[in-house]
Amino acid sequence: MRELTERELVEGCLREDRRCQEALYKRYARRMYAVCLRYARHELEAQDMMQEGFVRVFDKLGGFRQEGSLEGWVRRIMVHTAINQYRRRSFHQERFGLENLPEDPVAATALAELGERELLALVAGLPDGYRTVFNLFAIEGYDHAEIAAMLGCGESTSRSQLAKARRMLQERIHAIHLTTHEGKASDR
Amino acid sequence: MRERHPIDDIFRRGLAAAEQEPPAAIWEGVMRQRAGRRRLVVVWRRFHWIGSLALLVGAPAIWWALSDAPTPPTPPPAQVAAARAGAPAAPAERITTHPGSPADGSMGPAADRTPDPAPTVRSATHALSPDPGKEPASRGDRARRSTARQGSDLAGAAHLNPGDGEGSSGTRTVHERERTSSTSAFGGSVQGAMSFATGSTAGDAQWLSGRRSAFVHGVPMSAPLTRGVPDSYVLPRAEWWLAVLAGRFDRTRRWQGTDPELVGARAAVEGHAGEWHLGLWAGRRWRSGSWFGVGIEHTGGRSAYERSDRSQQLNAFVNTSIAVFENTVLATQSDTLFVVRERSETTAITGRSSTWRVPLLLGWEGGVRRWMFGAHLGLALEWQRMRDGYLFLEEVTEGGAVVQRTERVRDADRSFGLVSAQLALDGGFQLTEHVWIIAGPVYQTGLGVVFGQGAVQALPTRLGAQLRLRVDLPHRQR
Repeated sequence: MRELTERELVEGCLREDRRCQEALYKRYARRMYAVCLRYARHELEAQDMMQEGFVRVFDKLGGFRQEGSLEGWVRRIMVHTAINQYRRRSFHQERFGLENLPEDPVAATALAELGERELLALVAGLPDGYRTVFNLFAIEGYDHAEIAAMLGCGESTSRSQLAKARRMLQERIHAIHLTTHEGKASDR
Repeated sequence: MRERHPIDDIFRRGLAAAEQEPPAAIWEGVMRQRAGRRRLVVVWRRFHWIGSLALLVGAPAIWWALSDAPTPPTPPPAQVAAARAGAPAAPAERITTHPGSPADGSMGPAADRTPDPAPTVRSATHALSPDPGKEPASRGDRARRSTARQGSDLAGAAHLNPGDGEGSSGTRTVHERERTSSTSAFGGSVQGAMSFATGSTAGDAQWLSGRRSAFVHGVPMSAPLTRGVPDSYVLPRAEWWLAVLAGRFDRTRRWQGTDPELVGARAAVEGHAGEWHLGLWAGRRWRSGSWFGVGIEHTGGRSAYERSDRSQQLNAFVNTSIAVFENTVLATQSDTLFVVRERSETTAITGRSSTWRVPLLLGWEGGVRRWMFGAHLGLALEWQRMRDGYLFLEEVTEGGAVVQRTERVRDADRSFGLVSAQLALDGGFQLTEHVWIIAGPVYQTGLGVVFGQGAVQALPTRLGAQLRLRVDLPHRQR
């Protein structure tokens, strides 16, 4: 059967056509699940996030103007669902001060060896606030003013959390790098 | 400028387009969650008109009921002062005191005195003391006369005899009057009635205008109650009325006609549909509560039916080849070819109908205060026009090839006339003297087709609620 276009998918979903809904879900589920995994603390939370996000996608599909890409629109809904969950957890109440953090460059070779799974695990290991800010800034491309507005915190908090997230990721990547090299050395 | 960091780049490159396989349970969860919400939406869509009608009827009724509370008269300042200073009981207070008049102590010789009950007592005494030059009046007459007087009269009397309140005879008179007032409930009530009927104080006038519920049908609000019902006034024996109405109905149809196959097919796909009624009624109502009415109503309805069928056909072709040489089987070969053919068919029927009704109604109503209840029944002549459209979608998948077929068919318009019966309960509230808001459940059912064309006709059965705004046309006195 030929692949449905975005417009056909949207129109079918608006008619509550189960096949179109399933097709839309299958088309974006893998990418959106990866998005959810980046924001969630663990897989169960990512699954909840994804379910809630897709329910919102189908509920709000009438508001999709078909001006941009459907994937971008679905992705934005997923990110906002993740942010809502983060806000519900009220982690933004934590106070983080600006600190003078060292930002050592990380060896590119160490990172090149990391696959998707490892990168996801590294992001998932960050505390909630760090993880959310890092995802929004580094991967989604929002700036600090937008992040501050979305999370209901100050721009300085966003900057601070981003810096701490980077430092924590660097430390963990270094640790992985060292372990790998030690392993290789011991093999000889 | 946006800060750049190698960590960001690495993670962006690695994760921006990342994909992970989600568990199948998520999709089931999405469907389950949406199905629950959809049920609520369906229930709301189906029955939201009940809530809307309740709001339409209930909100004005509650507003009127709440605004019906009588406003107590505002006591003049002198009364307040007298009450603070331990003034005598209510009957003596009501008789006296008008703000700005000499009797309240703010003007005249007693203005510089310390506020005490004396001015009130004095004025009461003189207002009530019998005139020695006239015949003693009865107790009720005395009360009426004293309250009917204006404040200036009372004040004048008090001013002419400033020493009475201080003398022993004056004090005795006051005590006697107090005793009279306290023991005569009738006298007190007459005083109260007279007081607000003559509009002698601003507070009484407010109180009177606040008592909307006290109006008597046909008696103007401004008519003084002391005069009683005007001699020329008679309750109208009957009066005409006009009403506009709106209703929402749940409709099902019973099909009948000369083509049993078509009748069966239509009956099989018949479902519930919503209808709005708008109309205008006029009629006459008698004093006994019975009424009749005729009207014209229009009803628009839309029904939708959709059915999907899916079938899968598996064909297996077996081709067997046998090589035989001199009665010896050398080789056999069997090829089995499976062909799967999937077929899905969707049939959607959309039916629209437009109905004009001319009902003839008989009813009865009774009332308690401003509330009304009743019932009515009637017969109606209906002219119904129907238009149906069909959409057939067929999709066949065979060996990877997909064939789609779409067909749209529109039926010719059908129109026919029928007779229907109607039974309804009414509950209403009187908004003003001549305007009523009435609502209640209505049941309508088709009795039979009286004229029409086409092989099938539909007899509707409707159950719903109706809201009427009725205006009683003012009765002309001859």
